[in-house]
Amino acid sequence: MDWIGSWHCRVRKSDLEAVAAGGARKFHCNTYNEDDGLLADETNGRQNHPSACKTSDGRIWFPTPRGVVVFDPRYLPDVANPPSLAIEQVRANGQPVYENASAPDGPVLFNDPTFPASPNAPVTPASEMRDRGLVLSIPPGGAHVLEIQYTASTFKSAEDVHFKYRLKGFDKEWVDAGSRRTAFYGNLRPGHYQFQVVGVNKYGAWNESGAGLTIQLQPHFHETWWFYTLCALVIGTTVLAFHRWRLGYVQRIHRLERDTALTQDRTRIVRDLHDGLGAQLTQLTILAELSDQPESGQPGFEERLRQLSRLARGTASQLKEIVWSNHPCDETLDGLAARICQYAEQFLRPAGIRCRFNLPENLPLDRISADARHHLFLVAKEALNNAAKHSAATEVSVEVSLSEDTLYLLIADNGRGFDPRPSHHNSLFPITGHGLRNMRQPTESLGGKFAITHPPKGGTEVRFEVSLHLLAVS
Amino acid sequence: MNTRVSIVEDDKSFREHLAALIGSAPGFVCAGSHSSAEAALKHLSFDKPDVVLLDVELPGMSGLEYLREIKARLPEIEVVMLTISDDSQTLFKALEAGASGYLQKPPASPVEILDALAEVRRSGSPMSSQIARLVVKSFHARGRDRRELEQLTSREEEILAFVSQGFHTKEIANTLKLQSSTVATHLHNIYGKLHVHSRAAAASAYTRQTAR
Repeated sequence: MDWIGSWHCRVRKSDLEAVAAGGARKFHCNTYNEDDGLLADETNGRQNHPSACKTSDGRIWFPTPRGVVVFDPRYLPDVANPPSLAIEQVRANGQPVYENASAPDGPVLFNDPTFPASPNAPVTPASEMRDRGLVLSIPPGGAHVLEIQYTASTFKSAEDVHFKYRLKGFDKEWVDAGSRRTAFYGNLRPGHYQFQVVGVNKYGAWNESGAGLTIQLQPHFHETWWFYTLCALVIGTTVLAFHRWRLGYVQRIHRLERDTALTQDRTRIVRDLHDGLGAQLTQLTILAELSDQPESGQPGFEERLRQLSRLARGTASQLKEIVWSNHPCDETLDGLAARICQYAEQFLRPAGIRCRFNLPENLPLDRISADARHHLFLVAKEALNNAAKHSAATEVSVEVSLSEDTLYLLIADNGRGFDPRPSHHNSLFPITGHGLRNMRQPTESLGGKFAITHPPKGGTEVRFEVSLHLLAVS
Repeated sequence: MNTRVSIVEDDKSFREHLAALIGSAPGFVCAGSHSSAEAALKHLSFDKPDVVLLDVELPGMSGLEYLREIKARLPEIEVVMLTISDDSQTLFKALEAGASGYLQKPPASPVEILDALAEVRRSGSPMSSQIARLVVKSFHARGRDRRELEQLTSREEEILAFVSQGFHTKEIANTLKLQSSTVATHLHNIYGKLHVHSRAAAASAYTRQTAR
C-alpha cells in the first residue's frame, strides 16, 4: 500500500503494479478527508522536505497546515470490511409491524393476532425472531402498502453505503436502491416472501449475506387455494348439472317427437291396412261364400271365380305396395321414379291404358327420406288413380324432371278431364272431393305444391313440384 | 321336342302348383322340382333342363349364386327368375348375371308363366321399362371403349329407348315395321350382351385389381 501526499488516498499496490505493467487502465483509490478525522485535507511537501514519512513502527506521518497527522494502518478500518446491514423497521399500511436494533430498550415486534399494533400488544423480541429466522406474519389485507426500512451501520461515511434489495417471490432481479434506505411494495398478493438487502461501502467491499426478513402475507379466506378449489368445484358441478338437465330436456323433446312421428306412421299403416286390405278381404270373403254354392253349373259361377282370382291378386299387390311404402329404408329419387312407373304400368295396363314414361337418365342418387318417398308415391298414385277412374283416357304419361333444386312430377292423360263443369277448364281445379284430398294431404306434408290443369289439347295434367332439400334424409 | 323345365322354389305349395302346371302343359316337361339350390345343383346333370325356373329368395345358396353357377357350367341353359320383390335393382343384378327373364310372384295368371317359358325358348325375352332404363344406364356408364361383342347395335339402342318409355313389344314392332318376334329376339340379345358386358366389366375390374 502506498500513501500519496497532497491529498490523502489509499491505493492497493497490486492495482498500481497492474497499471504499470499495462494490464489495467484504472485503479481504485480511497481518499480520506476531514470527515474521516483529518486535521486538514492539504499536505504539501517539497524536494528537501518530504510530505510524508514512515517510521519504523509502521506509522505514517503527514504534515498539514494545521499540524501533523499520524496514520496507524493497524487501527485504520480495513477497506475490505463491509458494512453491516440490518432491517430497521417494517411498516404495513403505515403502521409499524416490526422494529429493531438501535432502540436502546431492545427490538420490538408488532405481530398478529392483535394487528393493528396497539401499544399494549405483546411483543416478540427481535433476538427471539432471529433465532426463528425472522418471520413476519401479516394478517389478511394488512399490507396494501408495505414499507421496509433497512440500514447500514458503519462508523463513518454511512451515507456512502450503496444498497441493493429484492423481495423473493415478487422481484425477479435485484433492485438497485443507491443510498435509499426504504423499499416500498404495494398490493402484494398473499403468500410467502423473502426480503433481502445487500450493501457495499465506498471502498467497494460488499456485504453479500446482507440482512433478510421473511414476510408472510396471510390470505383472506377468499384468496386461499381451497376456496378457489371449492369455487371451481361448485361452478363445475353447476355447469355439469345444467348440461345434464338440458341434455335430458332435449332428449325428452326428441323422444316426444319420435313418439309423435311413430304414432303418425302407425296410424297411416293402420289406415292403409284397414281401408285397403281390409275392404278387399271382405269382398274376397263375400265372393268366396257366394261361390260356395252346391250348383256349380249355375250361370255366373265361373265369372265369380274369375272375380275372386282377380281380387286376390289385387289384394296381394296392394299388400306389396303397403309393405314397400312403409319400408323404413331410404331410397334414391331414381328408385322412386322407377317405382312410380312400375306402379303405373301394373295399375293401368289391366285397364287397357297405355303408359308413356319420360325420366331423365341421370336422376340424382342422393337418398330421400322414407317419409318423402311415401308421400311422393301417394301423390303419384292418387293422380294415376284419378286418370284411370275418371278420365276414360287411353294413354297416361309420367314425366319426371329436375330444374335447379326442384323436382317436377307431371302426370297427364288424354281423357276428357274429370271436372264436370266446362267453365273450369284451363284453370286451377278447385280442390274438392276425396281424390283431391288424398293428393293435397301428402303434398302439404312434403311442403310441395300441385296444380291440376286442362291443357287445350285435351285431357288432364297434374303438375307437382317440391324442393329437393325437403326430400333429403334428415 | 318338349322343353325340359327344372323348378327351384322353397315354397312347397307354390312349387307343386308350378310342377303340376308345367307337367300338364303341352310342349313342356317338368324335369325336376327342388326346394333348394344345393339340391338342384346335385341333380343338374340328371335333370338336363332347357329352362330353369329359379326363385331369387332361397335359403342357403341364393338364387343369384345358383344362377352364376349354372351360367358358368352350362351357359346354354336359360334361366327365368321368380321373385316376390319387384325391386328393379335386384332384378337387374340377376339379368346381369345371365338370367333371360323374370316372373313376379305371385304371377298374374298361370298362362303368364307358360308364356314366359315359351318366349324364352323362342329366344325372346320380355323387358320392363324400368329394366330397359337400367340397361341403357349400365351401357352408358361403362363407356364405349368396349369390344364389339359387348356393344349394342343402333337398332338395339332404339328398341331399348322405346321400351324404357313404356312401349310394348307389339307397339315397337308396329312403329319400327318389324315382327314382334324380331323385337323379342333383339331384347334377348340385349340380355346376352348385358351378361357378357357385366362379365367383361368384372374381369377388367379383376385385372385392374391384380395388376396393382
